[in-house]
Amino acid sequence: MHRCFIATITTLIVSLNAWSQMNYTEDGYRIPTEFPTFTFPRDHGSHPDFRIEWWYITGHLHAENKDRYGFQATFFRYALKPNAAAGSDQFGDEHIYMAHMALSDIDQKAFYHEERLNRDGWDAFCSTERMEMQNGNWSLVQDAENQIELIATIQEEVQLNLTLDPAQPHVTFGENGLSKKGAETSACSWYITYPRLQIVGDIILNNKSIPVEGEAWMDHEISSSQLSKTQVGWDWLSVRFDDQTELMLYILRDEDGNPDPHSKLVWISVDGKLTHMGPDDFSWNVLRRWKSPNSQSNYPVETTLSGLRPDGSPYQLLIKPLFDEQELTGELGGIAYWEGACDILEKGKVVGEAYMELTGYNESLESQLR
Amino acid sequence: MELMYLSRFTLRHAKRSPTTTIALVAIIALGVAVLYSVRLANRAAVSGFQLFTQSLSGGGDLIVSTPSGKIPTSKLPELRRALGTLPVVMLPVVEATAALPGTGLDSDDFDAKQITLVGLDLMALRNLSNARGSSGVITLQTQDQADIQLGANDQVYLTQAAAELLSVDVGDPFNAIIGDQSRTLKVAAILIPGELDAGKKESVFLMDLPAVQRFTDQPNAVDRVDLFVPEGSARDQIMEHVLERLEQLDSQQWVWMRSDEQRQATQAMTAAFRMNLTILSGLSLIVGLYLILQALEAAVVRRRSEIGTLRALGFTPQWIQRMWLIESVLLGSIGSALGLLIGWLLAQGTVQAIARTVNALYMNTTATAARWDAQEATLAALMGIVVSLLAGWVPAKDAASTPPIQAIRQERLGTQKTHFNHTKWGLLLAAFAWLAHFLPPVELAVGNRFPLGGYLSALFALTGAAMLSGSLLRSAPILLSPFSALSAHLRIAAGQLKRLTGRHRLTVAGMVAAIGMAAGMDILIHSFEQTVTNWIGHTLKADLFVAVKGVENASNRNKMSEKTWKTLKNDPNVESADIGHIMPISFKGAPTFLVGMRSEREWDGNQFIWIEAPDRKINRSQPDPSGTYPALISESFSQRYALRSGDTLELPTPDGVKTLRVKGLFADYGNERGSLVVDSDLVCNWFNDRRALNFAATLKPGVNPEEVRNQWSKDYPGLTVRTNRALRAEVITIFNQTFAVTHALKAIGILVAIAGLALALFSLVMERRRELEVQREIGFSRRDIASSLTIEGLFMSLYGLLGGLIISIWLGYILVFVINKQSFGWTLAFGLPAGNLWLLSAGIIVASIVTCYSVGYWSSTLEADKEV
Repeated sequence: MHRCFIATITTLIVSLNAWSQMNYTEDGYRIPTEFPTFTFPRDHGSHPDFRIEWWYITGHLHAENKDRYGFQATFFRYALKPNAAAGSDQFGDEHIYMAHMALSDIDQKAFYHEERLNRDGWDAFCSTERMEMQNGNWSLVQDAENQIELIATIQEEVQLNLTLDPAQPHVTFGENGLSKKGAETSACSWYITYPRLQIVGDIILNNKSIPVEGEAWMDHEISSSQLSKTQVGWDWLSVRFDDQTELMLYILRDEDGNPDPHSKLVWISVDGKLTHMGPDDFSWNVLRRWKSPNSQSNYPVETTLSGLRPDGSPYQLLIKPLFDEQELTGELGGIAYWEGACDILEKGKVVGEAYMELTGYNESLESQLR
Repeated sequence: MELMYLSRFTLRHAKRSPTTTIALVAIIALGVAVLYSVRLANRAAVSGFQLFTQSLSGGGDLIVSTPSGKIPTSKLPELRRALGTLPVVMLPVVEATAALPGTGLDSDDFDAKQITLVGLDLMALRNLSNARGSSGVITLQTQDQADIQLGANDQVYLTQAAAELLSVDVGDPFNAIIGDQSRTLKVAAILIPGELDAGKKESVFLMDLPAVQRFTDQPNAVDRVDLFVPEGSARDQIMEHVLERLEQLDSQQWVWMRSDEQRQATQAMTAAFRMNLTILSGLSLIVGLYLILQALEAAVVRRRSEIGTLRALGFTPQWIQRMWLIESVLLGSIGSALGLLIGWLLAQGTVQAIARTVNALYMNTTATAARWDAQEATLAALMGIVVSLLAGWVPAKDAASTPPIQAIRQERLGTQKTHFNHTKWGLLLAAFAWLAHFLPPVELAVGNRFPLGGYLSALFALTGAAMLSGSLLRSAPILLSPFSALSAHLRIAAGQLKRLTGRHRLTVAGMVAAIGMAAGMDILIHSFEQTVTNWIGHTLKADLFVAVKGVENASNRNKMSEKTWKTLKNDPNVESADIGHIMPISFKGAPTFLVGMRSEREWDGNQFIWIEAPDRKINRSQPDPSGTYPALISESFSQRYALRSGDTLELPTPDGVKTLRVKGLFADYGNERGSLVVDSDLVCNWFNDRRALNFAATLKPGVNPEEVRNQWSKDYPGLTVRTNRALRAEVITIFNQTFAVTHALKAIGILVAIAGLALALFSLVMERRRELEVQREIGFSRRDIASSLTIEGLFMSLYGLLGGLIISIWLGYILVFVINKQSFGWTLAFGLPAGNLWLLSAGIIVASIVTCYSVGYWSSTLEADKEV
């Protein structure tokens, strides 16, 4: 879930959410349906008959000297017309490709990020055969062994050369394979996730090569419309616990400030079993806010999450950012959001690594969404 | 102490005779002004273009293109792959030309103003902020924050300058000719001045890349890709890697250069032109040197008694010489400062004329005003001061070496014996002039040559002729003697010419130089005009000529679609048609033209003026057994690339490298970059471009060309349809525009000649104040004195005129056969502009008479001790 890109295009989407018929939006885009039958590796690739699609990786990296880093790599596709072709060499006729890349240098409290915006034509594409994306010199490619290679730079300061290996099979969120985001028929997605990817590779930071290892989370979401009219933003969280279980949470915020009933918390057991819970099953409390000097957004960067686990045991987790200044300023897309590396603490002890996304805290965005 | 003496010696004189001081400063100012204005205007006209798309996109670090033709978009990923993971932002660019009807400099509809239409990926443009940081962001910031409509066929983003040119605001529609179509475009937004440099000064249309691709009928191709390397500490290292990767590219398919090299290449393209202009304007300063010399000498004469007094008081000759030189530098500095100001004002007018020339010959420039330039100003001022110093040297030496008693006696200048043999040196320089014209040109860059030998020859010839003609003035009294009995005026004039002074010789020398230059320039222009007229007569035989509006411009990118030229060709009124598929290409690193000539006619003498005719009939579309295709080359092409008939060349095309064999060499005065002619179908296929640049139709007998012209103009508002007569007139107009600056330089030459004569006479009468007093006492009227001085001056003028005309023939020869040939590669037929030369002579004579008589009349009341 999450994804700031939605915000960029929300104005368009909202109008389309009015109603849809059968499995297509009014203007001809496919709508995801229940009980999808995926074929991999093809379905890790692009689905041009849907309007919106993204591949979203967030993870934690550790250097030999114990230095810590967080990173985010996102590739978006947005179709400009229904039934868009996959590989047109005409400029900008079919798709827009956006991509975001960020690196958090935890010890130095330094945040590097870059955005990309390209049309199809030559310098950006998504394959329909497998997970293979390119945006400028950034690429994300999965090979036949399911290993994923991420190569990217952030300006001239950072280079990421990471190999991500699924430590668990992918899962599909949502009841009956369909992740609902709102009351409208079209407000849904197919949501495929690798909850735990083992990482090896290196980062080059300011001309210095640093070998790293770590773990990451990867989402692949396919939809044609997601939010409903009354939603103004969302908080999203992914957690990889030390006990090899995972958690995913998204809270869709309505304009009155309350969680939308379609908000979800999902537990993933060690054997990949999913347990979906609604907004009544957990409690999300803001402990501290951080005001961005860039966007003036007041982000709830430190929160607690509490409720009952699938086995009925109670929990209270503290989501603590590794540092506050992890905002993507939205220079190209125009929408600022916070996406940061966090630790998960329970009873004062670190029990896992997390990434949290906070969107819709910018006033201008809220007014746009309304 | 020295300052005090200097003040008394120089400033007192300046105060007492302000007229002469002002005249002296004015002369220096004029020389500096001419040099500065021409160089400034020239710089403005050439830099007006300067890849304004660079300022639009913030200036790419590298520019990648193909050796010839466009880059298919399908090949662009290859470029990205070549650069691997290097963080380089790539921005493909398409350029087209938009002609704006009704914005021309005159009311003629053909004279539509042209604007370069730049197609950029308006979305990818935003990525430049990653390479340039937010301060140098080249995002499409608009005044009204308009939404950008991707791919829209009518949405145009204008610079402020373009909006002012069109008098339009956001939302307004306007018409533009793009390709051969008239299109209605809409102002989507006006770019914020300051965000883009271009916003302030250049008229640019910006559209989304696919729209411009569609307009140019090339939906899958771009002209070039600009590469941007991010700013920051690792920039140099990344740039090094980028260059290494680019080196690995197949050079037959890709060419690249750093953007500063591109700027240099643009400048190199016009280097010869700019240097020619500089030298011509510099020559006028050298002629001005003669004027300054005259004026400073006159000052020595007037202040001779003062010098004598100083010498008598014990001041050393070295001190006096130093004072004179300091005075020269002072005058030079003041004159230069004034000259810079005048020059800057003059440049504002001259820039238009030079911009037209640059437009016609090289590329599109939008310059309309010349900016103050410190570098040029320093150069011009230095020239002014150095010339003043040089000019002051001889009078200073003369003043310092004059014995006190002689100085006080006010003896005539130049009557002292001199060891300098003018005749010997004149002959020696003439010999040098002859030898210099054999020197080969200096290679500046590929295809650009500087005719050093030609200029040296011209300089030696002018100097030599000036020296010789001064010596020849000795024959003047001999010529006058048979008529001496007729009047006292003649006798007095003959008497003065018998006692020739250095000043007489100098006057004639200066006139020879000035008239020689002016008449030489006239010969060049006449020869050019005659040749071009003959060429037009030979090549422009069709009844109607069709081109996309504004196509006269060398950098025009508009073309006629295949559908259009085929429709015209099939018009029932058309008997036959010649269609030109002309591609601007880069060959061996220099820009030139590949011409695909679609014609039913043979490649024969009816179509071309041969410099070297093919030895047999050419089967133009078929390769010979070795796979080489036949080609013709223009004379400029032959000169630039050192190719002759029988030679082969390797031409890179989008379809691969083609081997061509030169079958013939023809005269072409249409451009100086040269033309390579190949069969039209071959060119169209190699470049996958069937658009045409021009179309010439021969109509069926009995069809009225005017009627067809009117019909076609109505049917195709994007096309300019000219009748044979109209096109010829147009060519002559362009021709005249091209030589507008030369005419101005010619006028300055004549002005200098007459001013020099006036100054010389002025100095002479100042020296002869006592004689004039005696003449008045024995009953000479003011008219008598004026008449005798007129005869003396007229004789000097006639000798100057004769010498000038004779040397102008040599200069004309050098300009036509050496300087022009080496600079542009054009063979011109030498022609003497008899009418113009007669007019010039008559003008000089009349001006001389008026000037001499005026000076004589004024001087007739001079008192012996009066200081002026």
